[in-house]
Amino acid sequence: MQDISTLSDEELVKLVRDSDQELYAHIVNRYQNKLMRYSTYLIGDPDKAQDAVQTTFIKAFQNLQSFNINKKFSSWIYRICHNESINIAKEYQKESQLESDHWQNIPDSTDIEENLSKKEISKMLHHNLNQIPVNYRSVLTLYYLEDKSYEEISDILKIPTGTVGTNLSRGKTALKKMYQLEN
Amino acid sequence: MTKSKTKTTKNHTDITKQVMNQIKTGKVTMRPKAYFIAGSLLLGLGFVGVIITGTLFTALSTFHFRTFGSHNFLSFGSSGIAPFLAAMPWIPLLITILSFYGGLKLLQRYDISYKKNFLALGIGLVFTVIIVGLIIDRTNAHTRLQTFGPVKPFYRQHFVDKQFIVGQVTGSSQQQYSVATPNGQQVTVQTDESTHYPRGQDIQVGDTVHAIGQWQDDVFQAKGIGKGMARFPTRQPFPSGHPRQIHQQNR
Repeated sequence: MQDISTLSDEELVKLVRDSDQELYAHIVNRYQNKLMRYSTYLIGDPDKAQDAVQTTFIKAFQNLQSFNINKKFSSWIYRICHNESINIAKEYQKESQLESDHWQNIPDSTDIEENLSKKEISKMLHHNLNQIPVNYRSVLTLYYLEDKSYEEISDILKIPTGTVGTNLSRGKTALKKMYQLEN
Repeated sequence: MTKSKTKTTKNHTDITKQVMNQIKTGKVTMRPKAYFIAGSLLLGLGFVGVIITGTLFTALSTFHFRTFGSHNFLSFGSSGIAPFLAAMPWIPLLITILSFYGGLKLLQRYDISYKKNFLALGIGLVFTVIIVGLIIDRTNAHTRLQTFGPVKPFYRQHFVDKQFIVGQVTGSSQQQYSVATPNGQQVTVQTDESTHYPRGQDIQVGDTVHAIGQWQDDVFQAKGIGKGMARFPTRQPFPSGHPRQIHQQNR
């Protein structure tokens, strides 16, 4: 009997699709922590995040046959979770006063980013996450807290890699300004 | 901390339990592969369909402008604006624009839309459709298309309207022209001293003309008449629809 833990996500998906649907529990176990964390960062409410994650796994199962085995399962399921979380975030969360349009006029200031380590940004992010517009929040979370690459973020959010970079840069600037204002 | 961790663990176990319970009891089922294949096929067919529609109606719109010359009403100045608007091929133009919009929306469903420069892709798509439409317009495709059921109604053009006439001069006498429209109507156009001739007064038999004005009984009183503004295709007949006989309604 093969060791499930050694199988890649894509191999496991193939098994679930072709032979044993109960192996889906392993996929859920692998991703529930990560998706709960990501969804909580987006929504800001753990209970609603749990609803979003549960719906994510259900929708992922229903549409498992649509997943392309040659692509990354991680990006695919994060995409579903992102969509579910955004829907709930829009429904239950009041809009941040810091609308993304406001932040678009902020020039990309590389001098603000200098001397800021990833750790410092992660710290700022934890502190001010809910105040950041959703489109910056998702990119910042995926990059700094979920350790996703630009390409993975591009596939999850269905935006060009250039836009990933732009939103990251603007998000960091917004974060830094907020942090400076508070301190 | 431990309490929080325990609660988190419990919640996470609940997710697995909840999800697997719904799967095992059949409340949640996996959609078959055929469902997604059909979806992909429909998306592809839809995309091709809007592209073909856009191309076709671009050709149709160009055909209309080329043969009818509705933009030429503007040479009559402000008097020509109303006839110009009345004669514009609004529906083919609207369908063309909607096709472009539909094509771009469907293009967004493909991964290439975010992996590549979408603006460039969109411009390329619209440009290609317009170019192919223009090429089709220059071929004999219209001869066949105007007999093709779904498209046929869009080829019907009304050359006689309550505010304009478009046709070919078949006879002329003092201040009066006999004009034949491409779909076989014969009308009498009356001019007077106030009639405006944006392209000169030497209108001969055989010239195509646009005239603006109004009907008085069965005679069209021309406020303006210009020659050489329409280019009716000589080889292809126009559909013999029911041209609007607006002037009869004004009696």
